[in-house]
Amino acid sequence: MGTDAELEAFLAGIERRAFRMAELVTHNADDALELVQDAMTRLVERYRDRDSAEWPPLFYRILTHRLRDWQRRRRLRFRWLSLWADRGGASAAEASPAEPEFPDPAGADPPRELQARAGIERLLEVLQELPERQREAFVLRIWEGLDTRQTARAMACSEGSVKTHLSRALQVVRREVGRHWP
Amino acid sequence: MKVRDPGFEARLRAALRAHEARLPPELETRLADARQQAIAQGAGRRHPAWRVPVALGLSLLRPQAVVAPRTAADFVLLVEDDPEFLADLEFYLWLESQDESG
Repeated sequence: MGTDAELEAFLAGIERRAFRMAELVTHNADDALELVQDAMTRLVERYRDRDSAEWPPLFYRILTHRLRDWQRRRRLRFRWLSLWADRGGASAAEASPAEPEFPDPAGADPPRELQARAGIERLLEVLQELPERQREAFVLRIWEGLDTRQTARAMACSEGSVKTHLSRALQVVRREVGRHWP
Repeated sequence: MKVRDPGFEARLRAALRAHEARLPPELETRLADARQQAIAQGAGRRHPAWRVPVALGLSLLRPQAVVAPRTAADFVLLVEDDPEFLADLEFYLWLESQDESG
């Protein structure tokens, strides 16, 4: 069983990554923060007494479900606002997904970092464009480093599905950004 | 075509880890606050055991709802992860009725 100190250390260790993963889906800092905080709250509420080795797949399972639900709600909201706009109630622009709103933390980038930043920005674009399950398999396996079994648990699917989604995601990523990391 | 390439994957991971480390200080602070709140709130809350059977019953009453999860198991998972979904169900059903009538 993990201790409270271990639980806080675990959350501190994954919070930036979880935020960036949520940001891929929401394009919005406030929504991403809310989703990550909610996933952390639910992990503490339900699974604080579990062995600490179980926390990573459990946390990402919660976060994955919250992100899927957020997307479903957003699609519903978009449909509703579109319907309203068609009836003259609102402009279509109000219903459009928001643009990313994050400031550049470093300001003007030093030239030596430009190429790396171009690569990561393209990679993030590619990840945003992937189908939901492929993106989930990629971020959990490649970015977070969960193994196939843990990823299957987090995604609530079979290990075979994880391998298939990851393989397809990697094909796209290599084709689109392989030149940045030869 | 070779898909799995450990070296390529390690370079991607390093780039993504560097990306996550470049968070603005203001966001770092908000994340730390969120963690503290999560620990405080999560430690003080327990999941009401009645929610899942009630949610499952509701899902079986309206299995044809367009916006509802496809299976009862999905519904249980959704409610477990987001109890507020239950409170939103009325809105979803209203939304569906708008689609059907419009």
